[in-house]
Amino acid sequence: MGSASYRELSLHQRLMARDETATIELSGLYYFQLIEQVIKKYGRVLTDEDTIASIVGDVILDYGANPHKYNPDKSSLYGYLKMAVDGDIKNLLKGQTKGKRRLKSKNIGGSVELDSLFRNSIVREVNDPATNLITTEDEERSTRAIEALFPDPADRELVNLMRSGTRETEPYAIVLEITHLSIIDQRKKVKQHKDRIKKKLYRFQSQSS
Amino acid sequence: MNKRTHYKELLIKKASLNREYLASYIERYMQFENIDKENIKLLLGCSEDNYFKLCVCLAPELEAEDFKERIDKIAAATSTSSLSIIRILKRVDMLQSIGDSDVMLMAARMKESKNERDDE
Repeated sequence: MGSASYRELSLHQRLMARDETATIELSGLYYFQLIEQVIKKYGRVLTDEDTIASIVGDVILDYGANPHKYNPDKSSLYGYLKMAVDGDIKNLLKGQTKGKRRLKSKNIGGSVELDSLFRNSIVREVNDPATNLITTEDEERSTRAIEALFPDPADRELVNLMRSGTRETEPYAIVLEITHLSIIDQRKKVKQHKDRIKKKLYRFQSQSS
Repeated sequence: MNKRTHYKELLIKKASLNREYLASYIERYMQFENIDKENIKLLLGCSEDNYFKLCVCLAPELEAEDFKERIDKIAAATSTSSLSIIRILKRVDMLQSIGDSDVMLMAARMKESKNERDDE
C-alpha cells in the first residue's frame, strides 16, 4: 500500500505533537473525500448515506485524537483511514445480514483491530456474501497502476480526490500547497494540474487498450 | 441544506460527544447557557465555515504552559475570538469540576428564575 506521502507525514507529525488545529486539515482533506468514495463503493448495499458519514466521521475523529494508532511506514494515511472505514462497514454489513445491527455511536466495529501489533492491517477478515459483492481486487489493481503512473505522492493524492468525485477547489489547493493564493489563482492552478493528470490517464488508457 | 453542510453538521455532532474535541466544550456551554448555534457563533464572532473548523479542533489542555499560545493559534486558524474560546473552556471546566448533577440543577434553577422574571 506504500508509505505516507510528505504531506501525510507532516500532518501526522502535527497530530502526534498535539497541534490542535491539525484536525482542521485532517477533516478538510479526508472526511468528504472518504464519504464520497465509500458511497460509490458501498452505495448498492448500504443505502443510508448518513450511516456512511457517521462511520467515516468516527474514523477521522478517532485518528485525530489517537494518531499513535497509525504507522506511517506501513501505509499511506489515506489508505489507513480507508481501510479502517472499510473494516467498520464490513462489520456493519456482516451484522446486518445476521440480523444484528451493531452500529453504535461510539466504537463501531469491534472486530477490526488496529492495535500496535497489527498496525494498519485488518486482522480479522469478513466472509460475508453481501460484502463479497464488493471486491477489492479491482481497486488494488488500479491503486498499483496509479502508483506506477504517478510516482509523486502529491499527484496520487490529486488522483484520489478526482476518483472520489471531489469538485471543490479547497482539498486540491491543500494538497498543492497553494492555499495562500487567491481563489481565482487556486482554481487556475488546480485546473492545470487536473488537466495534466487527466492527460496522463487518457494516454495510459489508450496504451493499455 | 446541501450535502456537504449536512455532513459537516454530522461531524460536529459526533465531535460534541468526544471530550478530545472543542465541539464537546461548545455543546456543553450552549446547554448550560441555554443558547443556540446562531448565538454561539455570534459570541465567537465566526462564520459557519469557521464554526465547523473550530468544532473539529482538538481541545487544548487548560494546564498547558503554552495554553494561551495554543488558543491564539486556534483563534487565528478559525478567525475566532481567543477570549471567547477561553471563556467557553474555563466555564465548562469549572462546571465539570462541580459535577454533572449539580450543573443540571443549577441550569434548571437559572432557567426557572429567568422564566419567572419573564412572566413578571
